Amino acid sequence: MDVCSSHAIDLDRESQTTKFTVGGIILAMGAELCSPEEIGTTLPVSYDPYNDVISSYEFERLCAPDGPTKGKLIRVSDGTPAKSIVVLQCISSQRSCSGYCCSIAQKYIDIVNETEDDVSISVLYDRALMPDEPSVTILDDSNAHVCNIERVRKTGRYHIIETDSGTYKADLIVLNMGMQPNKNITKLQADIGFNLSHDEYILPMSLPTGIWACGSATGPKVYPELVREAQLAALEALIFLYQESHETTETTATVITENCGLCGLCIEACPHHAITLVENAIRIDPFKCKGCGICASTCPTRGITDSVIQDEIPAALAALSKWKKSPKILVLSCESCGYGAVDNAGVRRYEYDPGALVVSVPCIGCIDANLITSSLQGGFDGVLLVGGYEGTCKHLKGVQLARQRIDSLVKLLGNEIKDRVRLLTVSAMEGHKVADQINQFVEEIGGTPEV
Amino acid sequence: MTRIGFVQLNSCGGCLFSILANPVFLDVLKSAEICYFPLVSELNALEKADVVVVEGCVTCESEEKLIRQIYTAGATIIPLGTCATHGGIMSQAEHMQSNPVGKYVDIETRLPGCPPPQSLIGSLLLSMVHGTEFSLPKKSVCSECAYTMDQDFSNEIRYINPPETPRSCFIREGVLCLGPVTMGGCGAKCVRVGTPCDGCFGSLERNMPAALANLISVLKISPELQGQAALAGRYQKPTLRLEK
Repeated sequence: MDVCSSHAIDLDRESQTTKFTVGGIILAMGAELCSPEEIGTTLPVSYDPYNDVISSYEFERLCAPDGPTKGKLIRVSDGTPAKSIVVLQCISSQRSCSGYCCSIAQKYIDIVNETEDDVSISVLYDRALMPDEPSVTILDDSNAHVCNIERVRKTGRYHIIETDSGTYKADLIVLNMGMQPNKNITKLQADIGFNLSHDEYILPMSLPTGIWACGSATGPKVYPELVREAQLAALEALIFLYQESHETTETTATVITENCGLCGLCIEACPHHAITLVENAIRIDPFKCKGCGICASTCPTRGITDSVIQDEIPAALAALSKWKKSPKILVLSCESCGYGAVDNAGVRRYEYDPGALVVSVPCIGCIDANLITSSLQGGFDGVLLVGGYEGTCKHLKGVQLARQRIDSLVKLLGNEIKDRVRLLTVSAMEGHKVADQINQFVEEIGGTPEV
Repeated sequence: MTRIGFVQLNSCGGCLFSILANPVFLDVLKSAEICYFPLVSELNALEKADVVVVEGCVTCESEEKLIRQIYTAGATIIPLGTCATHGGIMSQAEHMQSNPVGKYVDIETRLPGCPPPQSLIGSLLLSMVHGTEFSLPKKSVCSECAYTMDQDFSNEIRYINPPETPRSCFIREGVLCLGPVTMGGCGAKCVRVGTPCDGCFGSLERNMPAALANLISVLKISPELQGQAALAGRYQKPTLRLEK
């Protein structure tokens, strides 16, 4: 306090909440490392430092030249030098790849090989722990092995790890910890309103305009990617703030005042909180609007137009309904996951019935019950909605809304449409699911005469 | 001079009585010829009519035949009231057909309502007699409601019948009100006297089951209310194929 020339130190200061008005927000709060205490007990060998099963954070400290052991690799239990080290990979609370642990394992191999002559190190990937689709190529090293760990037992000084490809002896086991989403994400989600990806990181596509996310807040990444993303987010924010005026590229919805019944259903329906009530009129914020069309389909009085919803889709349906083919199935897929999956089915050459006519729509939440009934009346034998998994939807509740609409429609109309309307949720990589569902649908509906 | 017939199918007669009570009806008596109106007169020349106002829903073959006959004879058919336009309250009967007139013949002008409000009946009669323009409201009941701009759809819907007279929007108080999806024109009378809208006008241009499915998907319906018949509306049998 006395030495600080600018008197910047105030010991009596208490924490306080300050409000800022800002033009943009970048969410870069990162992810969290998995806690060895939380998941360490579900593994083939439990986390227990005093039994020489340590986490990668502790091992880092052992390796550090300025650490408690000055870089000496010792066993935590008795302080004797560790001679055979086994690194267990993919230790994470999620079955998704954290992306960085393989390079850390490589680092451990290098450190051990460079600094110690008589210490052996093996990196083990247990197939039971490995993610289904690793986001990086796993370690290609003579010390790295992919195996099924069958049993781990302790004999004297050593842990004996029995696997299907050999037995490993370890006097120090290192659990290489992955990452998990930041625990504050749910709180932020309530305040800002965005969706989470399937592994519960922020889904950047679902963020409102003026808010960006970068780094491991949006999912596990390796270092160069993080830097690139941060630069990109900063650039986007700068461009956004330096513009004198903003243009929206999305197809946005507009209110037709003479049709608007002021019921306010659209306010409740809008997933992006873009619709508000201003001076007895509905107002749509074009910068919050993401063009999903959910409001236009919800409006009972056609008080909101969205060129895609009101013109393009009906025109496509009218053209397709003239096409003579039986049975004829209308496949409405959302332009993100759904159409991606349909495209994937094409790219991977999965065969599906030619009677399925695919129309891409902004979001399957923009398919209102009326469109379904009118296309069933207009000559289609079935309607299949293809959207992303609930919770991964970039329009937050598109799939949920579509499901509720179909459910209530089926409840109201009963047998007439029970077997003729379906909802399929897929990820963009699951083309086979779309093809299977279409074929099954055609088979079940085939031969049913038009009602 | 326009010749007008008034036909009553299955109905309570309320809509036709509303016509009799309408001040414009005196004008109709002066400037048009009524050739068929069994409710109040012995005139029996339906075949001469240019315009036939039909009240009530079609429940049997003879009624269907009658409607088709009138249509083939070249008369314009105007369904009056929700029974004629949507099937009406008789749709609640389980083992009875109650079909709207529009199921059998093409309809251009129609006026729903149970009964239709006098203002709309008046302009319909004027359009029949003098050829003035008649159009149905484009907005929903909410736009005419006393509680407009007071909505809040985030509350759970827990009641079909309000436990007490509400002081704000029914939906805000957790009562199912079909106002948002129902065609306006009634001045939200029911809401004014403390009853939620039950959708007697039917939906605007879209069909009612679809409109209800859209509404229900946005509202938060409590689990106890799920599957209750009232969610399906009172005035229309849920059916895919609605009108010709």
